[in-house]
Amino acid sequence: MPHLLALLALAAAWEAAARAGWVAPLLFPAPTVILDWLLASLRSGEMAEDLAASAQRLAMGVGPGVGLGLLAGLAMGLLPRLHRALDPVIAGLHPMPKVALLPLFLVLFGFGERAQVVPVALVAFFPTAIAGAVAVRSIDPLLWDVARNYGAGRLMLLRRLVLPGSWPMLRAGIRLSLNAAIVVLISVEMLTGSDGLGGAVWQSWQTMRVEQLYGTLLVVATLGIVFNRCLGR
Amino acid sequence: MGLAFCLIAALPGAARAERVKLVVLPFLSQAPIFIALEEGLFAEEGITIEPVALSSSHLAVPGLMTGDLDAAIPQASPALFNAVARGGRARLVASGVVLAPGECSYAAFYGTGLTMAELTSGQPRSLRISAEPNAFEGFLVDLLRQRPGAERLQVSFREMPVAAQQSALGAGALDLAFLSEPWVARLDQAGIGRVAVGGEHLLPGGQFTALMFSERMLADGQALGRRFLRAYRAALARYNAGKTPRNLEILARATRLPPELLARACWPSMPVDARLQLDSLMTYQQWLRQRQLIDRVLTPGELVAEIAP
Amino acid sequence: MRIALSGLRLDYPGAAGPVRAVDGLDLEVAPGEFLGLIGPSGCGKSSVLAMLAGLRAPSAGSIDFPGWTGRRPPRRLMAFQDHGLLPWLSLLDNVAFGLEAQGVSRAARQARAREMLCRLGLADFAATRPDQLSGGMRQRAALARLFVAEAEAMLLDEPFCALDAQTRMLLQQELLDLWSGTGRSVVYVTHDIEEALLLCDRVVVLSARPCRVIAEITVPFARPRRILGRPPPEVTELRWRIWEMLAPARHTDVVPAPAPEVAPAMAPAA
Repeated sequence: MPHLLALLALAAAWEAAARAGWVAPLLFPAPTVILDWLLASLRSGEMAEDLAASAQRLAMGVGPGVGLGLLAGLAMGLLPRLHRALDPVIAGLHPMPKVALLPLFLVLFGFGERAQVVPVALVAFFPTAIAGAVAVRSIDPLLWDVARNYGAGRLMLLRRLVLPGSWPMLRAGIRLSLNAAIVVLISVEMLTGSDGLGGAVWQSWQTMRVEQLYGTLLVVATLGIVFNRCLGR
Repeated sequence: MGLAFCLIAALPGAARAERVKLVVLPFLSQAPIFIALEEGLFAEEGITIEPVALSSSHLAVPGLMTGDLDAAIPQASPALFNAVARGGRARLVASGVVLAPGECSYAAFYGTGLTMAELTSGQPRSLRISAEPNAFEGFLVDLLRQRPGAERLQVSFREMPVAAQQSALGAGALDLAFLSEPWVARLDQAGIGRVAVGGEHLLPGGQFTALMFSERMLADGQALGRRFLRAYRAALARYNAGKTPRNLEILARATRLPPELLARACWPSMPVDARLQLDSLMTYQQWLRQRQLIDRVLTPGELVAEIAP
Repeated sequence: MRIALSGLRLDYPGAAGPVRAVDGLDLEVAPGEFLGLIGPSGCGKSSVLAMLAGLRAPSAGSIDFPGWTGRRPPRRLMAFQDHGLLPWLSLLDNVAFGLEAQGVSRAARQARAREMLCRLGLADFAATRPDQLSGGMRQRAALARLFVAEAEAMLLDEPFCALDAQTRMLLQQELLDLWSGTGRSVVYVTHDIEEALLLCDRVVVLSARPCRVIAEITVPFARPRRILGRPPPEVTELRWRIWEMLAPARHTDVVPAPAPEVAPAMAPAA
């Protein structure tokens, strides 16, 4: 509730400033203008289309990205030798700007959806993988002793010890993955001028209709909040 | 020469040396700016340039409108028209690149062998074109489709970074890519293909870029703007001398292009009189309006500020 | 089930070469015996237990189960100093953990775990997570997990040392009640002489590191025992005997001998 009040206060102040002409309306249109645009685009179905296109790409990228990150992270957490082998590779590849490689991906993956989804998957992979590896290794060694002593088999170790024990950190990793994926997806959509939320952002700059930018970013923010809720606290 | 410069610097006009924030883009279309800078033409007018480096003229539009930037040579775009329609104070003042029919194409649809004759043969054909559908090139695509014999062209837009276009054309993932120099020359050099349709064929005399001033340049009876424009015109005159060693030297340095590529490239037409092609700006706006990309069509009076010489 | 330890040795890598934690330990645990291991802190008692449990491989020597005919080695389950309950499982699932590992069906293991919780007065907390319970309740749940799994031998590593005196006495009594009549062997590690004498049939006194047997003492205290009852006078006398035996070890504790476990962490970074 306090969040909402703070948000409303900010919006009211912005509205007043925009109406009084204290801020350039070209760059900071009044919240009501933004809201008008957002409602119109929701009504026309334009936003739904963009959202659906982005959500689909996000799912196609985040699914394999987080999935493989999870597997790689757990494997690295469980197998110290694998961790020693892969850790420097991950350390080297993680900071690579995936968007900078977009032209290459376009060539390699055939200039279609796949090429747009690959950087999203890549960027989603790393935080989950890194968090997974750390999460597994941070499980209390005593609990490993308990589980082994009581004769837990591999499946039970995974189900009763490894997954629940690494979940809090893993969840943080997945959250970072999702957010990074959204950022990269929007950048990719801007660069490839496709449909989707990034396309809407790009179009807003192409036409200097900044209310479209803010409206779209509001939807992006909502997306972030929804994902966070889905992952639990 | 040096003495003359010192004399000028000592003149009262130089004492009023004014700073102008000028957007500098590393493109051939910005040639007059580079020439004016290198030849000291701005300094002769008592103007000190604060260069602002940007990667795309899109980025210059908001700053021009709010007055945080003073001058730039942006592409005519829906952003520019909407910004003015929504109270932006910047105005077009002089011509930049014009798509002029001549011996070469500065901006063109590039293909791996397609010709204008094939495109307008009346045959149904689906084209994958790398171009922004909502920008000037989208307008050109529509003009192409309005050509007799091109009615049955099916176009799908594939936008991609320019770096990917070459491979896409080579791989057959694209039929046409909208390019401007030096990319046309580069792709020619790489043996990728050739120009299918030059922009100048689709919109002869089309205003591609134009010089734009912020409100400050137009204030006080356009005093500062007039001085800037004098330097700009002088630079245009030198530019129109063609690929002289001096021009080549200046532009090679400014665009960081290899001199041999620059010598081969099609240098854009920039009329020495700097007169804006208002007709093309109006038809472009009408096209944008039809597609709901601009709020309204601006009159020439709203868009352009006439600066008396 | 009988357990025979012979020539048991454990070395682990230290900063200045291998450190010997256990040195040539010979020991036998009789079937159904409640055996105490007592020694100064850090002497390697826990290492002996970990080897007994199969969690750590001895560097030399052997652990045998003479007369054991089962296909698999007998199960030796531990109760840990720091309860070792899984924080994300309910008490019921924690108690049923050993049964689940044995492949007991969900319904059966939950019934047995519930019964054990009832017996220990934890019935109301079956669905509770360990972190919402007191230290005593957690340790009680750990005992429940241990006993419900019905291992051939039970190994307890100072399970009550972090509890207050009253709770400790209650749990000591509960431990005896749970164990009596099971006929299972227990090895109970402690550094508390009194506790060892109250619980055990026999107490093995161990030296400071490396761990060696100093003495084996049979406790003349009839069962069933009541913790709150007064132990016979000879037991009280034994206290002092063991105390004296441990005196040299206490001395070496005082002398700042390089403690190998701590040394690497404390050494200044080169």
